[in-house]
Amino acid sequence: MDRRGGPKVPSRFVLLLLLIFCVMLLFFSYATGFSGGPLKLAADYVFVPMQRGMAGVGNRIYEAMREGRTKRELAIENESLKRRVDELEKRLTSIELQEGELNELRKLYKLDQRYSKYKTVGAYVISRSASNWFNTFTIDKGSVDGIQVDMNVIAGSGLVGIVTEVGRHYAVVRSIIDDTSNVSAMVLSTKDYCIVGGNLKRMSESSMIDFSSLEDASDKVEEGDRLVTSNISDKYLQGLLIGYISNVSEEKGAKKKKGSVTPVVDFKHLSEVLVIKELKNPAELQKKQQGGKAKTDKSKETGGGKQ
Amino acid sequence: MKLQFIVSKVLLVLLAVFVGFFAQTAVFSHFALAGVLPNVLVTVTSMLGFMRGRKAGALCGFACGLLCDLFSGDLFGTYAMIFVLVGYLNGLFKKLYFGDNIRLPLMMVALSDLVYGGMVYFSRFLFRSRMDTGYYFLNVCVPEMVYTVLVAILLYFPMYKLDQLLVTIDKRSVRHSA
Repeated sequence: MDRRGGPKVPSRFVLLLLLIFCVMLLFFSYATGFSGGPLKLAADYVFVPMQRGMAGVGNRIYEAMREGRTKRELAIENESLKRRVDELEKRLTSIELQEGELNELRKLYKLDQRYSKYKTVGAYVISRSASNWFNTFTIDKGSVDGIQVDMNVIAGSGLVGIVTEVGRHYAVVRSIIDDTSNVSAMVLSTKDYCIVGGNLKRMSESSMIDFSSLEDASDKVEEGDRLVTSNISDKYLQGLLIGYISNVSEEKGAKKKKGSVTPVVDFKHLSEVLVIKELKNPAELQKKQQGGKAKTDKSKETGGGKQ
Repeated sequence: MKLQFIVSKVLLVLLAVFVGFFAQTAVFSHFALAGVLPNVLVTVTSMLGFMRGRKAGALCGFACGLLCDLFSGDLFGTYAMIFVLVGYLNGLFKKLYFGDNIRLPLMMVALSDLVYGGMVYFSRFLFRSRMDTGYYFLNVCVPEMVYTVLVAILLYFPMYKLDQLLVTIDKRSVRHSA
């Protein structure tokens, strides 16, 4: 710009200014939980409507690709499905007989699906996180629809994650498979507590998440046991299904166990989720608790707030 | 330079950033290869950096970073810082760029994406004692880099046109002030 006689700002100063501004933002965000402020307005009125549209187009293309199969393929599939229906019908009759028995046992076991009574709101996933390192996504409901930070998100039968940021018409959800996610959980059959933490490495290797710090003195926990969110969790409502334990091993040094869990939710093809419009601890209660809380396992848990 | 020229340049760059962000979060998420997404924003920042210089790169990076921060839910400002650095570092290579060869841009984008991956790992993973650097490099950074370079081939020509447009605006503003 010097040729034109305008004031010239050296690039180095620009870099320095921007970096200082970034550092200030970091501190400010760490201290106050700032997460965009006025920029969120831009997100609400510019990005989210367009993303919604784009997500629609993307879904349509995806659907079109799936529909573009040949008739022959469909005929073959139809044939095999018909066979499957016959097979399943046979099984159904025998299962119906067992159902009565199961209901009885269920009553004894108190296994009824707790979350059928929670008030939920459905939302569409409108965009994924912009990086390969994290597993967050944006949904198309925000504070206008009653969404708040720390609300739990489920899909189908299992826990998906937690709301970490809310705009007027959008909310960001961090899924439980994210590397920074930690959930206080318990084994449904033995009521033993543990911590379920996402792990990028485990996830990309075997589509599983890790659990650790499991106290299982009586060696009862085994493969296939159900893991649900625990009653001592700060942020997660009790009894949401996380997944099934697929292996257990001793933790080095401590008398605790670790292993991995296969989540029940298919995180790769998530397009609709349910947000539970109920917080585990209302805000005031939470603050009080944080004041005098002893350090327990659950203090490791990461909720929706900043870390 | 007159305000109107600055504004039109800024708007053009912001448009590129917007389109890149949408492409990344809403379009490419349906075309993930083996669970890997290309990094369109790094491509845009990097290309603008070596086409237009350090200042433009850093500012464009700042815009990209803020966008990522807004939708990431982590500490606000982490991505902004990473992208500013990526844009600035690319700007250092402006002298090597003549626009006649696609090899240099692709190499720069590849390097930028690796640097970006390294910085994300360093800032968000290493400090949580995820020590397996080699694994993350080979299984996250490198696949992303390969896919990003493929996408960069497609993005080079629109970005080249954008650069030409910005040059035209510059020239017009010189004529205007002369």
